[in-house]
Amino acid sequence: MKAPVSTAIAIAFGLIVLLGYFIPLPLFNALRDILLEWAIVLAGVAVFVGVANLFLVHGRKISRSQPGSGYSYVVIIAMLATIIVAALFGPTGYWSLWLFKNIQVPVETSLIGVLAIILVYAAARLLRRKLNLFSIIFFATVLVVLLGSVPLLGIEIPGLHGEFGLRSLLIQLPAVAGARGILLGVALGALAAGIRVLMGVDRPYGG
Amino acid sequence: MAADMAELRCPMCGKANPEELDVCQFCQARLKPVLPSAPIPEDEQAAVEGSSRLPEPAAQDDSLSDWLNFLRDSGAESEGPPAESGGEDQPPPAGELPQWLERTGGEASEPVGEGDSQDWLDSLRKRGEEITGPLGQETVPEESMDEDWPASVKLPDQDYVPEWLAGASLGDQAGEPLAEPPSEEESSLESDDEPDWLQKIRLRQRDETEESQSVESAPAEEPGMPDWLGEPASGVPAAPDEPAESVSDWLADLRSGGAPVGEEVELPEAPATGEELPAAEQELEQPLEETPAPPPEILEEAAAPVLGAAEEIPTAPQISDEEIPDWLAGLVAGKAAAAAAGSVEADAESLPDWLADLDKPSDADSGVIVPFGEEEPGLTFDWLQEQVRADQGLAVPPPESSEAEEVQAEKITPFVGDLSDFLEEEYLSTPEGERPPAAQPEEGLTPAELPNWLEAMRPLDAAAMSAAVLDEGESQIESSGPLAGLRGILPAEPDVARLKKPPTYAMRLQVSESQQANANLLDELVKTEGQPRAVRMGAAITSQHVWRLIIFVVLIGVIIWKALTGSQEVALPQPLPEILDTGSVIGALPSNSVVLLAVDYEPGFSGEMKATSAAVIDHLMLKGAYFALVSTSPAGVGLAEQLIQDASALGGHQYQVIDRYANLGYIPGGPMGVVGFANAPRKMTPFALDVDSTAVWSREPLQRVTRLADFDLVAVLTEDADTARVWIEQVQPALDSTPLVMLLSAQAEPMVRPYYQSSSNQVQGMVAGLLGGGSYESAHQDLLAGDGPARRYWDAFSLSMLAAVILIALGGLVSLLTQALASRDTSEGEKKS
Amino acid sequence: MNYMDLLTSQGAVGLAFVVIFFFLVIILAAAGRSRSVQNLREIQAFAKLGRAIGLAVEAGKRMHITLGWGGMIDLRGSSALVGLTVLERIARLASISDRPPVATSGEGVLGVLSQDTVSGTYKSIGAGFQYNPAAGRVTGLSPLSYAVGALPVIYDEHVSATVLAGHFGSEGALITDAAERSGSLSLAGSDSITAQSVFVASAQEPLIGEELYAAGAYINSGLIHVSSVRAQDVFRWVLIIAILVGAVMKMLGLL
Repeated sequence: MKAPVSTAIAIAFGLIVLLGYFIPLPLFNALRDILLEWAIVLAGVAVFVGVANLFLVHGRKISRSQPGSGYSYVVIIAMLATIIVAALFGPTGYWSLWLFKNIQVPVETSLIGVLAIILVYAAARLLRRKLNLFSIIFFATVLVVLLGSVPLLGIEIPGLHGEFGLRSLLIQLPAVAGARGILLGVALGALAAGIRVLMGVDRPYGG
Repeated sequence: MAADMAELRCPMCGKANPEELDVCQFCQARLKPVLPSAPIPEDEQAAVEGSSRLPEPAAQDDSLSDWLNFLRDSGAESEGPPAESGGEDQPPPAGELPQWLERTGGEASEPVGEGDSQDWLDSLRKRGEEITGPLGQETVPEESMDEDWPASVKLPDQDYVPEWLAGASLGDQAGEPLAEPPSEEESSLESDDEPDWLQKIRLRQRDETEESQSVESAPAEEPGMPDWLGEPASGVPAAPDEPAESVSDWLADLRSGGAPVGEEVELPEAPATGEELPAAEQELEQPLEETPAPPPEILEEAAAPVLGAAEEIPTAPQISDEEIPDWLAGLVAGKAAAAAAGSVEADAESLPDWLADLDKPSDADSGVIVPFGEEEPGLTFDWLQEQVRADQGLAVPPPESSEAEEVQAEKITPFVGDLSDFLEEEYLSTPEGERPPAAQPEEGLTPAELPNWLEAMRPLDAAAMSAAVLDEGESQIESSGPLAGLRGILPAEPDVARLKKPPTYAMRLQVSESQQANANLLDELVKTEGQPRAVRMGAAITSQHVWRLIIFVVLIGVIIWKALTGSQEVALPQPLPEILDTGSVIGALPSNSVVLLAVDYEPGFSGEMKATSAAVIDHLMLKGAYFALVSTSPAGVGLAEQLIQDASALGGHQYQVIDRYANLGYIPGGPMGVVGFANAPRKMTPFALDVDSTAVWSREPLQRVTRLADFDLVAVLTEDADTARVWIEQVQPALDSTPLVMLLSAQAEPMVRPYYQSSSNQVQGMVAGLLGGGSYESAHQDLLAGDGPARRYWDAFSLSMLAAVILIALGGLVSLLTQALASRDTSEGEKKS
Repeated sequence: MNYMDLLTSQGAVGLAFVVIFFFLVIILAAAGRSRSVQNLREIQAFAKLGRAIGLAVEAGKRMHITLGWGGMIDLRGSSALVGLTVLERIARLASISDRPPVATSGEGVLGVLSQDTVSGTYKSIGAGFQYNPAAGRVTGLSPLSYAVGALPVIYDEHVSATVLAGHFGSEGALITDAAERSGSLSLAGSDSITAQSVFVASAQEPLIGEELYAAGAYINSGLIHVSSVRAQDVFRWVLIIAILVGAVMKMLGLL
């Protein structure tokens, strides 16, 4: 068996947390809380791990002079600058907020704008990519919801807009119902994935 | 070396043979020459001396030597017994076959002494005469015959029946009746060993014995001479006398006298019936092997050089007994007279020269071995050719070119297979001056005349021909073995030692056009394998780029236009229930309430979230609420700070940190962090991010908050439906009566609405997207002075939304038309096909 | 302690649900061991995935697996687990390729786990020397920055196919759009409804609903994966029946 110690720890702790959720015993509750606190701490540390990984990846790219290493210089410089500023002025200091407000927010907002264009293009090419009944239904639903989202030139079309319009009806009934069903399936899948981890079949921690 | 030592090279074809073989396995030539120095057993010497030995055809290995022995013996018979041989041949006892004939039973031929070399030579000459005669050739004039023919050869008597025809012993005296046919036992024993031709002749003779009556009996033959030639020469055992009845007519003519010179004489008839003679003659012509007689065609072809290549050799006509050539008859009579006189010089006018010379002492008598072809010019068959040509008025071809012409005419190629063409071409393509010189006969010497059948069997080598065969200057006279005395024999011994140019083979591959084409194709494939194929670059501008550009231009154009114009023509939407409920919840808050504000959206959604939540935040600020800011995302800390400052500035509320709000920071762990915060908020966020007042929980108004339910309102700002669900599912159970309001992005509304609309009423208010924000602003006109972000964005938002719908619909329509056209083209193509 | 209250509490019901599911997986795995062929519903996306792996190996190109930005400590981690399973399988199949597969993620824990998965896979096949730490990399710490950070991998590293398996938001459309621009295959699945709706419009092979969780069964990760998919189907029917019965009982006023 690959990584037997890691597997044993994963199975043991998983069972403890699971029992702690379903069996309201003080012992299980106490253990569960302790383990969850450890997990929260580890999750916080994982942010630093992510930062370190990001730094190493771009540093390796620079050292090997791979294509696009110029952007890696920008990433590392920006990272270091932000860390330094936040460390000096605090995360909510003026300059920290200035960097956040004038660099990060505009950059990500523009990316969302690009995303909007991409989604419109994707919707426009949907029928060209695959033409079947479900694609047509999807396409029509997109149009109805978009049209019903805002009054057309200030005019609310009865039957389309309003609380009982077609848009509200589509959102509240088939969309939500379908989403619920998908979520149930996702929940079952998540349960199966968790069971496989508890059984030791899935070992993402394999060394 | 050991292998070479174990192999023998054939003197005829030059190929290697195992040592244990006596005859070449390729050309059947003898590998091991019969050594002349080997002593002859005493009991056999008499038989050797007194008989003309016929080759013993039993063993295939000795076939070559047998016919040579026969020839030799026939010559020795005419000359008399050799010096070293003792005693005269005694006639075989009655009932027994002649020794020479007995030897045809298959035993290996006895080694012949050198003194007998001339005997076989004489036999060769006789054999040649026999060949030419029955084949319809014109007879050689008597004079030339007389000149060439050795004196030892005596003409048989009229009544003489050739031993080889009658089966009689050579030791018999001339005129003696033929020996009785051997008993059946003897015949059965001998018939197994005798060649077929000999057997047929015996049978024929037996039949003719009774018929022939008019044949004049030839004078007594000297011992040693073939019967059919008449009296043998001195010292030569006399041929047995044959009954006159058994001698063929043409032999009878021989005894009566030869035909006049120049007179064309038809071919003499064979002793037997005419139709049998050619076969018999043919059988005589196969001395080498016990194989069936070559067909007449081959004999005719072999005889062609004698007459000339251009001449057609007429087939042997059926000659009746009455048509015995006079010359042959005269020959016999003349010779008989000469023999009776004991003088070699017979009537020169009546006898051909070759016959006249029969009694002349030859070199063989004196024991001197004369190489074949050098003893007298007349001893070769060339004399016969010349005589015939002269009679016919044909040009005599130069002897030195006869063989070369023959080779050229026949284009004999020594090679088989594809290489033969190449070498033949190469040989023929070489200028004549560079070709190997043809054999040049020495002056005064007549080249050796081999029988036609032997000539045809001789292996030809383009290289060796020039060096070993054609070049008569290098040819040497064989001094030992069965071919002793012959010129032009491929030397076996010297060949082994002499460096011989090996046959050359063409290096050029014989390939056909299709093979060459395939080879070229394979070569191209191999060459192109290493060459990288040029990658065909796609078009720089495709429909993708065009569509994206159009969408960008339209959307951006509309938004910029509306933003620049600042128009607010489009009315805000009517308040929705969830908007009203949210307003009610906030309106019901007491003054100086503590509101937990969870900012869990990404910076990219800050624009929408700002438009969505600006009015609600302003409403809360108007209520004097104290904000506790938390976030489960690292960027939420800054977003929360930014949100409050922007709302404060927009509404003119002068909200300051610590006094009016506290930023509790980042909650790690996602849902677990939310659960932990819900259970113990102080424990999860013990400090504020403000450097001046970190101990925020000890200050008012957060001092009274110990658990989540102590907050007056919990508002969650998120763009992610899952985050909203986590807050709802994990926090709401701990809220008790504290209301929960969700400020969402439009994409998260569908998933959160059930929580709002369910009977459990887990969410008391919900504002979703720009529509919700605009609706909230329209419901509370006093908020933000009626000029909130939603109001400013509303015109651009609605127009851009309409443009997006139009673009999507247009794209779908184009896609449908394209698909329809493509399917129509496909169906038309299928129909056409 | 009142054990009756304990047994009738919601926790017990939930625990029983989990235990029954566990034993059902084992029973179905034992029953399925005798079958030579596992009959599963055909999902075209996984068929194309197998072909894409082969083509990538033959063409000397790279497979790109992106695991999203969901952490391992919440519900979003389940889709990330599936993504790691897919990564392990692809790494095993494409280990002979000139360009080994690369995994990108938007979260630190996922980055570490992706490196660990690739390393363990190479060690198991005796090719530990092939492991490169750059095979598992964090491209950003926020969803949008992660998505944008993954674009250079698609454009510059000769990617023949991109597999999105994890938790995504609407920013997943940036990745699928980049895959379409570069002419590579995009196979996308997520537990997020928002991401699924975006993938239906933008990805070449979207995975709807719990099809992502069946990835292990379709890529031959093991018998337990197949049996867990069958157990999901069984429980799905159980839930359907339970919902219908509950709705009827509610209508009848029994609940």
